[in-house]
Amino acid sequence: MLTCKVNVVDGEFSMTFRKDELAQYANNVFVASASGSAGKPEDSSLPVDTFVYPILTGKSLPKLFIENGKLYQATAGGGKKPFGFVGMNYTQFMLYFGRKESFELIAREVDQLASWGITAVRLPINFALLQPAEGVFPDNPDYEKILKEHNIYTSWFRMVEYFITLAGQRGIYSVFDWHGYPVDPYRHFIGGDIHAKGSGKPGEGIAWLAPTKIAAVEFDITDPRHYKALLATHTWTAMHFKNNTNIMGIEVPYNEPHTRYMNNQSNWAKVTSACALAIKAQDNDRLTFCMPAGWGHDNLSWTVTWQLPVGVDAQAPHHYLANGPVPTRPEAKSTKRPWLCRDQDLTFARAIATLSLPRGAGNVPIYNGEGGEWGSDIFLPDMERGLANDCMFEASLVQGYAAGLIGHMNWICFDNKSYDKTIYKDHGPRFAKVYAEGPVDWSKADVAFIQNPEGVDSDNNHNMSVIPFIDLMLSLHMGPVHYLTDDEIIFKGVSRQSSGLEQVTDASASIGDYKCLIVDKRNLDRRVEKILKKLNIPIFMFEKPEELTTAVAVKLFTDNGVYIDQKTPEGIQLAIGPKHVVVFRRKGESGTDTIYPNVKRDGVFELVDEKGKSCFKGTSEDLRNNGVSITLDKWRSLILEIKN
Amino acid sequence: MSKNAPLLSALFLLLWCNVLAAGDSYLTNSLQPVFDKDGNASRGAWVNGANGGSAKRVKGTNIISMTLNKREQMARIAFHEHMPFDASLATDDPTSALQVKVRSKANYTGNITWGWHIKDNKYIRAPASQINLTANTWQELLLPMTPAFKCENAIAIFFELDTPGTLEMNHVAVVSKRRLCLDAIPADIFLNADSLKLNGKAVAGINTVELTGKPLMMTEQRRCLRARLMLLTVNSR
Repeated sequence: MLTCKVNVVDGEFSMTFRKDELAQYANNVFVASASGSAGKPEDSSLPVDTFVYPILTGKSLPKLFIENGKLYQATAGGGKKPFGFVGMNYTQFMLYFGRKESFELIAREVDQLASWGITAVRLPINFALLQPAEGVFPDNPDYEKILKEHNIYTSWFRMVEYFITLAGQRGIYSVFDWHGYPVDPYRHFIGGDIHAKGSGKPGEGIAWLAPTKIAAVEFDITDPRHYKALLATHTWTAMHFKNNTNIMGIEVPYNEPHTRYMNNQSNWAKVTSACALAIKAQDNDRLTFCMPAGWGHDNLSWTVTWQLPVGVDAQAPHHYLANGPVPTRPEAKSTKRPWLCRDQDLTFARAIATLSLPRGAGNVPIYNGEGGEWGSDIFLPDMERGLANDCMFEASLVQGYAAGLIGHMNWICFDNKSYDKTIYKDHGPRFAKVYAEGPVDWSKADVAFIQNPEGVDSDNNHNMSVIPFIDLMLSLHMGPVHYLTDDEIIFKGVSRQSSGLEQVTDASASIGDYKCLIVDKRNLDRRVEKILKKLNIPIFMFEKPEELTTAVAVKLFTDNGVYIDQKTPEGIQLAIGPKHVVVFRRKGESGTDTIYPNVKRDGVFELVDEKGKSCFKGTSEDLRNNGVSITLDKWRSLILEIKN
Repeated sequence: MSKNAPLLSALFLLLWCNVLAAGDSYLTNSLQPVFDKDGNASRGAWVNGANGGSAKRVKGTNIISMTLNKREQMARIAFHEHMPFDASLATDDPTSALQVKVRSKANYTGNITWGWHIKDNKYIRAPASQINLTANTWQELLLPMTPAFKCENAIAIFFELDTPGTLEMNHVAVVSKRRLCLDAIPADIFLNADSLKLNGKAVAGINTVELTGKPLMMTEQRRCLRARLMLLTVNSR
């Protein structure tokens, strides 16, 4: 509390307070009292208050960059460290600030995000607010006038910039996501009035891509004007934020491109590459993260798994826990959103692992751009809502980490006042420190699983063939393994050489340094078997999934020096990262067990639990032999820090 | 010092304080306007008479005219059902008062009583105050508060006279009487500025002031933010 004495001169007094003397990010209240008064109420002024904004230091975050498929943060002296994050979708620029102006809310929410351990945010934005007329952006003299004509606060872009600056100051990177378009004259958040829809009255929203002011259209990338608008948005953003290191990247092409046209690999790759290259043309160092087709969750197409379009640096799919490659429950059809009414046990046991494994053999960084507890009301209807949200948020974080993701952007409509955000206070900081050390390294593996992704029919744009491999990997606690499709084997494993005049013969190229391979022959391209046999790597091939028994796999692995762990209970999932072991009870009942994580360290190290208590001290071999006892509830996690 | 100094400083206060001098030893701060000096009806208020009394806003002016010929007759300023008067502002501490500006076309002497109309047709009355009005002259009154009411917000404010008369009224507000006051701080002052000059006024006789500044408690922080966002919602409609 600040206290000072001032003299009254001619009935007036004044005092100057500096921002750095006051509590920042908070309302400060001021009261004046007559010196020496007896404390009567009338001898004190009414309190006046004001929100004290934080001091802007001008400090930016270290640059992020990708090298050999890994995301790094620059450190002093030209160094680097792996980077990972717990992140959040911050929807306010799309669903709030166009029609409301509050820098105070931004400051308070940045403070709140930082308190949850968030170090990256995805900014879903309706680009109507950035480009309110064709080719008009915030640096255009007409920009604010046009916003005003559409009932939008002219400070909208200043609020975006303020957020990015302040978030950067608090250690939070921002990623742009084009989440909406100028296509609906009645949309409230871009200046329209939803109640006027259908009345025949022209809508007042920013909808210059709609042919008339009385009807909304879908954003249609096949329309040259729409395509041009998207490219212009990417171009201007990359140009305006060039060299701004508070920006982690820009997502391409746009949010969840789910039209029939964009669900075609050729079209998706062409558009995505064009967007990425538009960005690179302005700022070659700006990272681009691609959003797969479908609802952002396609894990089948080779363009979103192992062969990304030109110009794309990394992946940002959407993996909602409740919408994984898991069968729906019998009552699904009677629910509002049947696709979220999935088998609960299987979801917690393997949903994110199944979504993630086909995404490539660790060759580019991947973060989950949207996920978390969304849909808990359908997925876990019998559980108290706060508890259900808590379980789902935690499971998304732990499973994503185990799958080698660099980060998780939780989805939430941020302005939902009734939504209980306390779950973020608990699990955010818990996992922030784990992710911050960088992801579990999936770039190298001893085993590769090979198959055609349509070995069994795909469903919901999800690879369903991979499931036997997932079950094997999780039950034997195998840690990183690689998944390669037959297309990928042909692409990477075949070479041809000239032999004699006008003669070319097949040769083989390396597909990776594996100790053994397991190959699913269902629907497999015939050339693959021929290629694999030339590689001189031990292989087990099967025609029917039941042939891949645990006993067969265990023999193959032990014969070829692949580490497996059959002592840790099958219901426990272990994720071994650079500095932490994350343990998750993915199935089975709560209780006490011994786990045997394969932590590779030279010499003696310790495992320290979340209360700071040392629960193991010894060598890697000691831990593999003797294990460590843990007590863990169903669908819950614990974190052990590895201390050398 | 000039003999006129106290007079000049009083005039200065009137001009610059944005508060009104009430008597010699108090400054008043508006806590909540009910019917302001520009004729704006706070909280969607409208004016009517009750129990045979007559009250209406004089067309084209910012004045309420009321004729009350019997004790039980009332003049009412009613609030919109979605914006009732916040009970927490109607405290009975000695620094609070109802400020009213009144005049009569003829000299008038009598007792005026005011009160809150709350749910279930309950009326909470303040102590009666004697008034002596000179014809055609506006006079400002600071009427004592009602007993505090809790839980229920007020749906109207009402006035009664014990002596028949026709009065005109303007500028009705719940105010706080203090011997010193601080100027309101402009919104978002700290967004672009690194310091704040806080100004205040004090009545004669106060020569030194202690100023304190501290962060609000978290619950109050939330209340302040909610209030500001609510204001945004109202303004953006």
